[in-house]
Order: sequence, then structure tokens, then C-alpha cells
Amino acid sequence: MTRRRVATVSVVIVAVGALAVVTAVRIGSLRAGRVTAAALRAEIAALDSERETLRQRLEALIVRDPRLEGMPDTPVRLMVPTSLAGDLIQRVITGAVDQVTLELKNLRVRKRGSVRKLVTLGDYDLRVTVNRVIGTLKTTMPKVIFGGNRVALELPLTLAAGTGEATIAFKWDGRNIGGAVCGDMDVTQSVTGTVRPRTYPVKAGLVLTSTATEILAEPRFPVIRIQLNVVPSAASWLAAQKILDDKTGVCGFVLDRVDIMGLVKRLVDKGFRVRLPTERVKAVALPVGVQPTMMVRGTPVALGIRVGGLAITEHAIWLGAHVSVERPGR
Amino acid sequence: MKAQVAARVLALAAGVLLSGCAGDHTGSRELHEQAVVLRREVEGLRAVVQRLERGEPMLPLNDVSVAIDDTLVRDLIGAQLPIDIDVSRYHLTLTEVTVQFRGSPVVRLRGRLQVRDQPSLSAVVTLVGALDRIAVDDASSMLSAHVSADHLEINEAAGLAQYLSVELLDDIGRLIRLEIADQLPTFQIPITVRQRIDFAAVTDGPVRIAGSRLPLEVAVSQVTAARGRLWISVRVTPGAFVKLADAPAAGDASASETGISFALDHSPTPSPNPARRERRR
Repeated sequence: MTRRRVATVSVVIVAVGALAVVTAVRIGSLRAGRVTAAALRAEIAALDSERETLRQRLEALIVRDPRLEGMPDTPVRLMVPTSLAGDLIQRVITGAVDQVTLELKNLRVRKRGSVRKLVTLGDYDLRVTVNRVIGTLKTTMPKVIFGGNRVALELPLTLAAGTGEATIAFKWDGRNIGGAVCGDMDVTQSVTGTVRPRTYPVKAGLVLTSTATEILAEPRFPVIRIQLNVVPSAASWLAAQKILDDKTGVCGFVLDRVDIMGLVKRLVDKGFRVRLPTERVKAVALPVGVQPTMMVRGTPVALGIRVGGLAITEHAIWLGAHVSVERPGR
Repeated sequence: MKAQVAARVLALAAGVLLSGCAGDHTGSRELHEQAVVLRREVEGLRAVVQRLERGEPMLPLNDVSVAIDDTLVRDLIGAQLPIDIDVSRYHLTLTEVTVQFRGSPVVRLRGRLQVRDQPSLSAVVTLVGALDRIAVDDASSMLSAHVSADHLEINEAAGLAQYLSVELLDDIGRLIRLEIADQLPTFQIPITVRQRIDFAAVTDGPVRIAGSRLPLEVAVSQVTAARGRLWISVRVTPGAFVKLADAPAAGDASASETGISFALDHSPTPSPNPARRERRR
């Protein structure tokens, strides 16, 4: 044996010894907590026995859950309890209605005519400009009733509050006849007021449909027309009236005949009709659905999804789906 | 070449040396796996039975529930394979998966373990674990899950590794299992649980509807594995409705649109106004 070989063998023996010691120390700590095969067998027997007891107990305890009725027989099943769906629908409707504002701007109404007393005394031009009427809608918790694939809704829709501002402009073009003259007259006056609250009982519905990936609630609302009535403030109404009342003579006669404030009052009393664009309210997806893609090692992979049925019972809304995974690169 | 031989001799000798330290562990590898699976199954059954004994339903009353068959979960995990992990001087490649939803969501991943600088030293491995940390991912709103590593069994050792004792292989398995626990990838379950319901701002004639949002707090509330199916319950707690954006300004309204006019309210010749006359007196 050469010196070199002796050295190599010595190094190997020392290294083996060192490795054995290091590994033994490292593994020793693991082995300290290790159980023997006999102990494992005993544990398995005990677990086996407990499992059997638990299974029997489970069979005895399990009561048929009414929410499981209608569960589709598909690899993926999504269930939304009607209690949760109803709560969400109520919150969405009340929240969404709170965001509705009715706003009429620069609405112009005009009336022209002549005033006669044996002969035509002159022509008038009455213009009412509704500068702005604004009203907000509110509702309280709607009643939600599940039945079939339809959800019936009953809600009070209230035109809750608002203000209005209009400008009344009256022009008179008098004709000089027989010395009884009311020359030109130009009166402009603003009137402000508040929107009269009014409640409309609304019966609507949601139709539940499904795509392959989600459950949709499509709103079905009837045509809803809101009547927007403004109650003029006493102060501004009186101010306008006073300006007209102060006119005397032929002008007073003219104003008396035209009855500007009477016309405006009838106009205001009639109110403004606003149709709610309920057709613009989009379908809302329930908050659980199947995602058509998933990330696989950083790469999006499309999944095969086939709808497996929608079932709506008194207690639950079910969507079933068949989902298949194509492995990337295959 | 000499260095390689020396390393093999070294590993073998260490194994032989350490084998001598072993106690009564005959057949313990299969027993370990069996015990791990049973512990999880019994734990899952206990939880369900306790819930029912408290008078609670099997699935939380007001929570969304998602049921997924074990075959689909197997395919979802399978799509992530192979999983390659380097641990110390070992390289672990997991290539096959089986899942079993009976009491607990047990996952078995099979593959091969190699000594990185000695590829001929290799063994077939089985990692036994369970679906764990199932949650709704905040960013994607998708369900995600992690596979916990409960037990790593080394078998069918090839090359010189076959001369190592069962106990040594078990211990190596334990070391590797502890090291890879946080390296196993999280995988997505293609179920979305939305964290908000949004409404776009709309203006239609004189009607303005502001953009708004109903925020939803979502959290996995319960996971139950039974009869080959994984039931994931998610608690959905609605928050306060919030306005996001004003609707575009409404245009000028028209009299015809709102049904307002003087047309029906006047007679061609206005009648005298007694109220005004009265006031003037």
C-alpha cells in the first residue's frame, strides 16, 4: 500500500466517523420523539375503534338538512342559502335606491296670450323656468319571497326629500288704445320650494338564471313613474305675489285677468312626471361562481366548464358545474 | 471518480452505522402513514360529530358552501405537477397525486428523491398530507389551498440507498418533510367568492344613479371532507353600502318628457281673479 493510499483510507475513515457522529446527533433529536411499531399499532387500533364509534354517532345525529334538497349531481356544486341571498338582495336594493337622484334642470314652460276688454289691450308672455328641482329616493327593507326561479319583491319607494327653484318671467306688451294704457311690463321673480314626499308601493321581481360560471339575479321592474311636486315656500310665494299685487290701474286689471300666480300654482300642483329607467338596472351576480381560468405554475390555464343545472328551493340556490382541467403542455 | 466512490462508501457506511442504533421499528413506514391518515380522519369526524351534538347543522346556516369532488381536486393538484423542490443535498420531484376526502382531505403525492450530486442514489417517496390553509385569496377572490406535509415515506430505494436501514430512511424522510413544509406550492381552486358587488354610475334623462359598492367580507368558515367530497363554507358578511362616484350630470329636462305644460290649464281668455282683487282691497 502506497503512502498515498494509506492517507486516502485514513481520510475516509475519519470522515465516516465524523459524518456518523453529526448525523446521529441530528437524527437523534428526531428519534427521541419517535414511537415504536408496537406503539403505532396500538394507536391505529384505538383510532380505528374511535372512527367506527364516530361514524355510528354521525349516522345517528345527522338530520337531513333541507338546504341539501335540489343539490345537483355534478363535480362542483355552489350553494347560496336563501337567507343570505335575501339579505344581500335587501341590502343591494336599499343601497342602490339610496343612490338615485331625480334632477330636472332648465325646464321651460311658456304661455302666451292676449287680454281683451272689448278690444285687445295687449299681449302677454309668461315663462316659467324650472331652474332646478332635485329629489332623492329612499326605501325601507324590501320584502323578499323566494319561489321557483323567481324572487318576488315588495318595497315602498319613497320620494324622500328635495328642493326646487323656478323663475317666473311675465312680459306685457300693451296696445295704446283710447288712453287706457298699461304699457310694457316686465316682471321677473324667483320662487323656491321643497319637494313633497310621496311613497309608491312597488311590486317587482328578480329572475334567477345561470351561466356556466355564475348565478345571476335579473331585475324585473314594472314601469315606475315618480310624481315630483314642489311646494313653494310661503315667503317666496308671497314675495312674488306682492310684486304683482302692487300693480294698479290697467296693469292691475291685466294681471288680474291673466292670474299669473294661479297659472303657476296649477302648474306646480300638477307636478313633474319622471320615469325611472329600471331597464338600465343590470343583472347582479351572486357572490360565488366558477372561475374559468386558473394559474398553473404562473401560467393562466383555461378550464372546461359545463353548466350542470340551477335549482332554487325555499332554503337554497344551487348551481352545479362540470369542470375539467387541461394540464399545460399536454 | 475516486471522490464519487468515497462519497458512496461514506453514505453507505453512515447508514450502516446508524442502522445499528435502531430499535423495534419493523414495518413502521406503512404504520406511520396509516396512523397519519387515521389521525386526520378521526379528527375531522370528531369535529363534525361535536358540531352536530351542539345542535348545529353540518354546514353553517347562513354561509355559502362549495362542494368539490375529490377527482376534480386531484386534477387541480395534478395540473401543478411536477413539483420540484431542493432540500439540503436532496432533490425531490413529485409527479403523481391521489386525494381522498373521508373525514379529512387527505392528499398523497408520489415522486422521487435523489441525492443531488449522486443521482444514482434515489428512492421513490410518498408524501402524505392534507389540504390545508384553504382561504379566499384577497387579490384574485379565488379559493386557494396549501398541501400540508404530515409524513414523508421513502421506499423503493435504488442504488446504494437500498442498503440503508428503514429507520435511517424514515429519519431522512422526517428531515425532508420538515424542510419542504413551506415549499409546497399553494394551488388555486377555481371558485370565486366576490368581495364586493359594484354598480356603475348611470344617468338617464333626469335620473342619476351614483356608482356604488356593497363590500363583502369573506372568510372560509369551515372545511369538511366527507363521502369523496370537500365542503368549503365561506362566511359572507356584507358591509355598509358606499357611494363610489357621482353619476354624470343630467341634461336639460324637457316639458314633454315630464308631462308638464300650461296647455290644459288655461282658458283662452283668462277669467277674472277674485283672490287678487280681494288681496288688493
